[in-house]
Amino acid sequence: MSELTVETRDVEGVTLLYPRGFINAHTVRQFEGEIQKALAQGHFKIVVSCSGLAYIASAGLGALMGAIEEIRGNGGDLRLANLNETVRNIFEILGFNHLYRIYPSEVEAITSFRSAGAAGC
Amino acid sequence: MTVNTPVVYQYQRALDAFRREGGSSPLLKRMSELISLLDLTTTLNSSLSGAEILDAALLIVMGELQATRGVLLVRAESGSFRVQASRGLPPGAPAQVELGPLASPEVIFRRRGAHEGVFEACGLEVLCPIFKADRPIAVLGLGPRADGRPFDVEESSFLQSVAACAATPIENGLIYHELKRVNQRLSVKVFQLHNLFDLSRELTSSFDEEAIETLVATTLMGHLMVSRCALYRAAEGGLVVAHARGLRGDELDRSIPAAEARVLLGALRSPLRVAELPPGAARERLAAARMALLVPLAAGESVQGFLALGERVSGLPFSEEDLEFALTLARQALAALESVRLHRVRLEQQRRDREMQIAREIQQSLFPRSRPPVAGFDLAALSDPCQEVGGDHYDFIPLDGGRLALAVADVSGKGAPASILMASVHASLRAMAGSSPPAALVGRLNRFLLASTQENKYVTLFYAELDPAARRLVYVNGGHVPPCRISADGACERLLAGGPALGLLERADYEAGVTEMGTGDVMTVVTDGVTEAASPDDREFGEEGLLRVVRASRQEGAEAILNALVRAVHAWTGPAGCSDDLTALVLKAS
Repeated sequence: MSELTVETRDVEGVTLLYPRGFINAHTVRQFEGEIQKALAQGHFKIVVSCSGLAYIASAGLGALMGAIEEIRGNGGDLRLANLNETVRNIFEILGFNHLYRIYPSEVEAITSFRSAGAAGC
Repeated sequence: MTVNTPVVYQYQRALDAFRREGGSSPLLKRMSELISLLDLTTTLNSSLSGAEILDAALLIVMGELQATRGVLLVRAESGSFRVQASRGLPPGAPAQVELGPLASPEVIFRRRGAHEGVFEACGLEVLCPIFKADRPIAVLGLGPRADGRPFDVEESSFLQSVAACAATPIENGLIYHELKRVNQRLSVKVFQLHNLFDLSRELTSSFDEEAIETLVATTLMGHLMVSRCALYRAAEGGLVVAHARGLRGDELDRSIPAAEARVLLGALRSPLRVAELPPGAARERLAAARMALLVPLAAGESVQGFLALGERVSGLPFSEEDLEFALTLARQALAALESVRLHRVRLEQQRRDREMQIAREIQQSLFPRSRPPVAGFDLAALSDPCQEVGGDHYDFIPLDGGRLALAVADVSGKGAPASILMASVHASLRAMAGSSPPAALVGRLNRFLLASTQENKYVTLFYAELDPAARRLVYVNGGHVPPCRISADGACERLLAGGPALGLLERADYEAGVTEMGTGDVMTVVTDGVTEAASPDDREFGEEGLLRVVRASRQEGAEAILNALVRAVHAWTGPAGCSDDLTALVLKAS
């Protein structure tokens, strides 16, 4: 079994990414590739739904950092949902929770784009 | 505000009843103070969070003394005091104040000479140091009282009681904060280590520069919360961008000219903020791309490039730990990139070795498998390859009438190209031998090679046809090392007739020479691997060496003469060994 699978889905103009497994040094290029694919298609409203994500290393966070300027520069945002405890702790350790909007559920993350527009935090 | 209201409430009710019954005495005030202290103590020991407890404690004290403003200052690591909780401070009041060394827990009143600046700035009337184990850990400050009464000795004793009650909980709070901070730093360290471990495992198994660069850039960006990163490597005097992330293509110059590169690489001994670079074009260039930090890619003293990182998105400055992490990562990256380079060099070497192997196999397959018997003659030949495959070749081709064609050739160059040309010479000779007189044959071969080979390729060839019955040799020397016929009496004839090396000149004329092989005559044909074999003191074996050996051994058979020659050449070159293939052919008339 591979260390990471990433499914994507479009809901109401929002691109959802479902990483499953581990985003680490080994798999980061695959994860980054999926983000880049969305950007290449002009999709700048992105929700990373993390219910299947067991762990994210710095490299994965770096992939988010590397895309965020382009996403917000195009009036979009990248938001996160369904973080498990480990992943939430990693976000908090480094202070990522101050840079990215995090929602308890996928639905809340999707509707956040509708209610509050696409402005970043 | 208090959690333990019932306890305080009982006392308050008792006090209210005493008042209703007309009781009035200084005891009432003391009672009220005691109730406040009880309230304070229960609050301080409650399960509220540290900040809430201190906030509530401040309000209790302000309420009891009817102070219109209050502040709780907590001692920071630096020795100054930082505002932890406050109410009603004037606008512009400092968030941190200097109180110098506080000698005793005595309450300090305004206008007594000490700390006037702090009293003034915060609009306070009284400061109450809170000591724990002879050390000031906090200061409680209060502003004017609502009814205008000044603070005096009575309030001072109450404040000292407050300080005594509050000291331990405040210290606990400070320890808790410190623990939390240490814990946070530890978590970051643990995460860093996880990442370094993860990364080094990945780097050591990676043979792809792009993958290594991506990995290092994304890991650094994630860990330091930076949205842009570029990797510059030294190349041709300047610096070029080997990798960039989070930047638009037009935001970054793909290369930095040599003059600026020298400034940058010279300044980079350790991670350096772009703002700390010497002023000039290099700094402006990087600042324009919104780069904030440079991390050298260094192996020992030599800086081979750097990682440039943008500002942290959080706006926080880079910490020493950040720089250390970045440097560790940069070292690993450089080591991994270097190992990829070495791996590539190794692969290239293997490819060359394989090519050599193939060339050698071609060369070996072209030598004749056996020596055809020639009546009245004794024949021996050998080609001893050096490390690199050269272009030496010899062949015997039986012709009609018992005649035999002999050929020794040396193709220019080495390796696969030389062996392919040699194969072509070999095939042509085999096809043409005997079909026309030797001079015409060599002329045709020259034109064929001119048409089919590259300009700088050529072949030296000695071609001869032996008629054993007539004991006559008709030969053509196309630019080859002159063979010798040594007669039984030791005299030497150099076989020079012929023309230039083949494959060079369009209008080359070849003439044939004829020599008679008397009984006991020995003809030797060699390549320059024999005549140019160098001794350790760089003297050539030469024709003299060849003649000396052949003369000394000419009584022996062809095989023995050949062996003596090879032994003599090896002895001449010594332990350094050969520098070219060694090929020799010996023909003896018996």
